[in-house]
Amino acid sequence: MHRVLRNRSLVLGALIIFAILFVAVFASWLVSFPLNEMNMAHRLAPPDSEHWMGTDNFGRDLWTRIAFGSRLSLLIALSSVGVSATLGTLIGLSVAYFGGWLDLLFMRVVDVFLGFPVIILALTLVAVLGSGPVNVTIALIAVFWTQYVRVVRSIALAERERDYVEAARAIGASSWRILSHHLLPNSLGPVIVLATLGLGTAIVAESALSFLGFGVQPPAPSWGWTLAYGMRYLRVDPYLSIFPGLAIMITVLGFNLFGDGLRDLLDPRGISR
Amino acid sequence: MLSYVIRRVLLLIPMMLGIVVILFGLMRLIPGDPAVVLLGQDATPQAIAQMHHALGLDRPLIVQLGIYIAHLAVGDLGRSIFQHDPVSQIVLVHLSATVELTVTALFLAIVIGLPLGIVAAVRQGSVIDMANMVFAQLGVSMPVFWLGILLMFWFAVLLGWLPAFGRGAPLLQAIAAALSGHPQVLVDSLRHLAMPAFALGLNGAAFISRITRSSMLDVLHEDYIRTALAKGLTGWKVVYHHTLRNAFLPIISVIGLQFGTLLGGAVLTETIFSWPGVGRLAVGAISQRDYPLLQGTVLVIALLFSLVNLAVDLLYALIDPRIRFD
Repeated sequence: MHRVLRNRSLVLGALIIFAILFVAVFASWLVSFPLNEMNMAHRLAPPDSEHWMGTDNFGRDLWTRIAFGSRLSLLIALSSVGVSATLGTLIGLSVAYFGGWLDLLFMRVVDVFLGFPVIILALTLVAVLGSGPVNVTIALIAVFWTQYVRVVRSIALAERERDYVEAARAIGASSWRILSHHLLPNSLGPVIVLATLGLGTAIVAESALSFLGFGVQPPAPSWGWTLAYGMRYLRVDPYLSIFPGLAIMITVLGFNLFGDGLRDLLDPRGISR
Repeated sequence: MLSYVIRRVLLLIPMMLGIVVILFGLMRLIPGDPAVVLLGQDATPQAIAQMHHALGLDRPLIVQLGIYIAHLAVGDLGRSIFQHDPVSQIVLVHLSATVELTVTALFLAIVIGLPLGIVAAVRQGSVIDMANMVFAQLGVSMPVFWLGILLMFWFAVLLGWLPAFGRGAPLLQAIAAALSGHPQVLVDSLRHLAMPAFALGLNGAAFISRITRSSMLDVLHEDYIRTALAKGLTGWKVVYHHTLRNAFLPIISVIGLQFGTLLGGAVLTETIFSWPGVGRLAVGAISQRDYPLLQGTVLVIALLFSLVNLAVDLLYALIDPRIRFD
């Protein structure tokens, strides 16, 4: 516990994530206006005591949209990272343990997927699947799963040759038992670190897709889309661009700090670095 | 080394083939009929059937794929539905703008990130080190499109110092013009390039400073550094000759990987600043549902990305002989 509390990155990251989660869960109690309530007489208003982040081009309260937007961003990030980490871990463990043509096949597929820049592949997939939160999540899963396969496979390949796995095999342990009781627990640490850092990447990727107009569509309160729309009013209302971007950055910062702290905690050799 | 290079280059062929197959499959999955896109909603069934025949869409998928690969082999990426020009020609025109932007962004990332990381490692625990860590964390967490908008707001809208959109003359042409007595062409080109390149490069600078600091610290704690200092060598001599050279491997790797990341980031930066590169071309192709153009653009970006990754691996192997014999 002492080591956890001394890890500044971990503590600060956890506090930021906790704050974002709090806003996401209790958004309905933290805002004073309905999500889609328009007030054209008050459009593009700067921050004041009533609308402390100002209003958007339809006179909707910006804080309300950002608070509800956190739900959307977190939900897409958590589900895309959760599924890709699970899928990647299962595939990585299996190909490392069974090897042979299965390993060869999957690793070539992984190489092909890694041959695309992240945002380009996600964009192409969303072009095929169509926009919307579910399709964005599917596109992000298709983009991210390969990282987990690579990491888990390399760990499992090393562990597979260790004496304790040999011993388990000698006493008749099944492949399933070796995979689930020996190889999986050894891969979990790096997967959790990668997934935590991956949450930040997923939030940026989702915002980027929405920013380009291919992700979550209005009137859903996407941070990326609000930011893109804010750009049109940069001259008259810069707050419309500043606050959604700030929300994205703080959330990503939280996951990055937490992920870095977690890595230090799990690999104490790197702490001083 | 030669056998390693040959092996790596040969591995690129099945990978590119895989990318072609995936892209081809994805394009065929896109909802909507290209013939209807071309002819409009009012087209008669006969006209649509004729267009299917003309586009080769009435043949089996595997035959279509074979024809597509055969055309690719001679550099034919098809024809844009809306611009009517060959895709290879359109992509080539836009590629130079993307390369100019990403290379400049990478240059800025190195120029900012490398010295920051070195100074932070040498002065570990100092105010500079703390400031560098804050910069690195914020830089890594800041979305490139937000930074782009902030820069635009500050330097184009508020101060009016830099143009918000577009590209000046291509940089190499601008340099040539400056050398022949027209410096204003170069100034204009650089003014257009400054914001997109900085927005794109800052994230990379943060990554490079982080990895430089951590690999420098790894080496600084080695016994031979203590020995070098004990021998009476000056601090900066030790930093340059003994530390930086040995810390360079992971730094080069990150710099190379950054180039790939920048290619992806260019999609967003180009869209914000209306920079006429392949990223913006791809976004436009999706919006217009110009699938041959999208397919060709993504293919070229993926090829460039893979070539850069290959170059990084080869460079890595050239510096560290252990990798070649792995």
